[in-house]
Amino acid sequence: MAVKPSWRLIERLRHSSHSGRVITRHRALRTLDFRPASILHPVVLLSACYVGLAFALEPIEILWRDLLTVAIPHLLGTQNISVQPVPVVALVKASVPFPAVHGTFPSNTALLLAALISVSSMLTSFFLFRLKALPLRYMVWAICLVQLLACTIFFLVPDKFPHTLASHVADGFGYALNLIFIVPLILAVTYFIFDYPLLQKALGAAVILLTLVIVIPCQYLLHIALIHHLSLVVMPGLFIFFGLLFDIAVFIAVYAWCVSWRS
Amino acid sequence: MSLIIRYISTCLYVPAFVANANAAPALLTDTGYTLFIVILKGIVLLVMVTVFLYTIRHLIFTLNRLFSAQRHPYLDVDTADWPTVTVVVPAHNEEDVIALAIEALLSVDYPADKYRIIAVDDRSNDDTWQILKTLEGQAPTIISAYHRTEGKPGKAGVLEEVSDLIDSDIMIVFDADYIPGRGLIKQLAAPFFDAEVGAVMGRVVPHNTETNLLTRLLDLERAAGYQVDQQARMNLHLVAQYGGSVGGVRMTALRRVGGWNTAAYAEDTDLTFRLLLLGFKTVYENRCECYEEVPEIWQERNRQIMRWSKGHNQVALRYVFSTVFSKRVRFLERIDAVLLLGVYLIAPLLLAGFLAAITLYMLGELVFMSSAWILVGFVCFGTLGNFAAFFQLAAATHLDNSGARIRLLPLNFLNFLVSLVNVSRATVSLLFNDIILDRELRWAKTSRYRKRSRDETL
Repeated sequence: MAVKPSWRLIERLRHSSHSGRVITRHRALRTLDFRPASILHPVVLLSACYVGLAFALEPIEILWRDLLTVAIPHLLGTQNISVQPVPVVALVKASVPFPAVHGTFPSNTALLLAALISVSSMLTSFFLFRLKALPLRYMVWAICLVQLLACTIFFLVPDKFPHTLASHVADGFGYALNLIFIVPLILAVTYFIFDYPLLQKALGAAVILLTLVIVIPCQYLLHIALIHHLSLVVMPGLFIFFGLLFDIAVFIAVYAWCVSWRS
Repeated sequence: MSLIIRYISTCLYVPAFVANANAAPALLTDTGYTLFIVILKGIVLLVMVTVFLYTIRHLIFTLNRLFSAQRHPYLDVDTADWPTVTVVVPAHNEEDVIALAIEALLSVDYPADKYRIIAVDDRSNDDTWQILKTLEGQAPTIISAYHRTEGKPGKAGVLEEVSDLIDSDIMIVFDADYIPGRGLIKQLAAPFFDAEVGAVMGRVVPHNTETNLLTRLLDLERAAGYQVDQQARMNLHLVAQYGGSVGGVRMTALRRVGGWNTAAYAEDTDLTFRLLLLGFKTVYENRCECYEEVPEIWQERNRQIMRWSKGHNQVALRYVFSTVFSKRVRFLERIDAVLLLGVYLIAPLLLAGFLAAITLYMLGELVFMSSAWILVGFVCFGTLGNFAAFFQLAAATHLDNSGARIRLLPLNFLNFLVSLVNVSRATVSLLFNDIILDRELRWAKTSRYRKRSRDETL
């Protein structure tokens, strides 16, 4: 009795060469095969990531707090470190560390200097970054415009700026922790769906999360040093361009690297 | 009237208001501040909702392109009684590239008795016309060189003028720098056996990718736009877009919609929507690849994206309501059409959102800031021309099997930033110069970077 060949077998034969290798389809026609793994991998890895993060949350808190405890005396000359509870994706609470320091308020001279540096940077970038480096001009202008706006607000309403060094660091850590907890969800629909081996995807996710866990405290230590030495006037620029946006840039960079790995 | 002006000025004059907030003597000040904050939060919320909607749209497109059955209904048409085709190649100062394009068009495998090329020199100041005359002499039965000295300048003007000379069933349009493959004309003509099809669009692949960072970033953008976006729309029976080059249009359909719109900045998108409203379908053929030159300098890229943006927004203003209320367009097509028409409005909206978020931060009004920053932050690594999200770029490079290219993804922020500013500039310019001041359309040619192809080929 003839055995009815399965559709999968016929598909395999259609794309088999004389020597038994796979004849790859043209890129215009290429798709990923939808297999049980296409659903299973995202589910398993997403669950694994969240279980891992649940166990790692306390060590992350301790790591960040210890890093600040070691570095803050060198940066600020004080050991005054506090912790603040922050909600993480509205489900759990975590404690994030911050230096209990308000930060120096900018003097009029500092404001004038910041404004002058911003204007001269804009002018310099206008003449310096022409054909090839045009995006750099846009970046410099964006940062300088925010800096000028900050100078204006500090000059016009000095006592109404609502943020301190302490709140900047605590909020920053809070946002970053939320980002870390959202990352597995993003990876589930943008990375775990690809046809890489399960272990490769697990390694990729681990690399992305670990990078964020290590980069974020270093980033905020740099913020603390800059704000301490240059006063609160640099805080808006740091928050807007080198806060969460920088963390996302780090995520994107590592994600892009992981996606480029050969399976 | 004076009260209204006072009220608005109080609302907008934030610093003075904030300074006096505690000692605000009048109710007007409190209301003004509250209104100001509500407006800012409203803008941020609007940006978040819009970005979220588009992200979902692109996630659906990406998943569809990766896993669904792909629609290539006309791919197997190989032997047929082929329709008559005229390929139109508009050229303005294209002496460096035109010869190679025409020679490639002469080597296609389409039946010679049904195939004609009209190469149009649109008042060039260089040797384009001489080159075209030489090429016409080499294949007089196929090539007709056409010298244009008057009429509206620009591609739409050329196409409209040349349309009257065409007696074939199909008109295919190529840019002068495009290099078609041998089987491309057949692939583009095949869908027209389907009577519902009004226009066909092929995939554009940059060939000068290795030049610099900009060309590499534009290669990513094009890959996401065609490989994922257009093909997913084709799969889902949505509104595939006719892109002006590497595409064809059925002449009867073109005549029924009133020909090319010479007043449009983007005559291709304009045609897509006029065909859609008349019940014709635009088909995307991912296998029909043609190779183009993308801008190699940022200024050129700015001019290009500003022109696209103006044209697209012009079409949006013209056809959004007629599309929404059209009975010929399916419900899902209508949703897709509205989202497609809104693509270039994202940039000014995002810019307004950024400004609103910065002001809210300065005032200490940080409600839903975290989620807003995260959502908008991810958008900064996508593209604005076709509003492709970062994962769409990743999927496109994965399908193209060119994995290493995706490592440039974080640098796409530069492309995003430049596009954000220039698309917003173009939107403002369209509003003030074109609509309010009613200035006439100015046509700008895209620069070419390839040199001496004429000497190499002639």
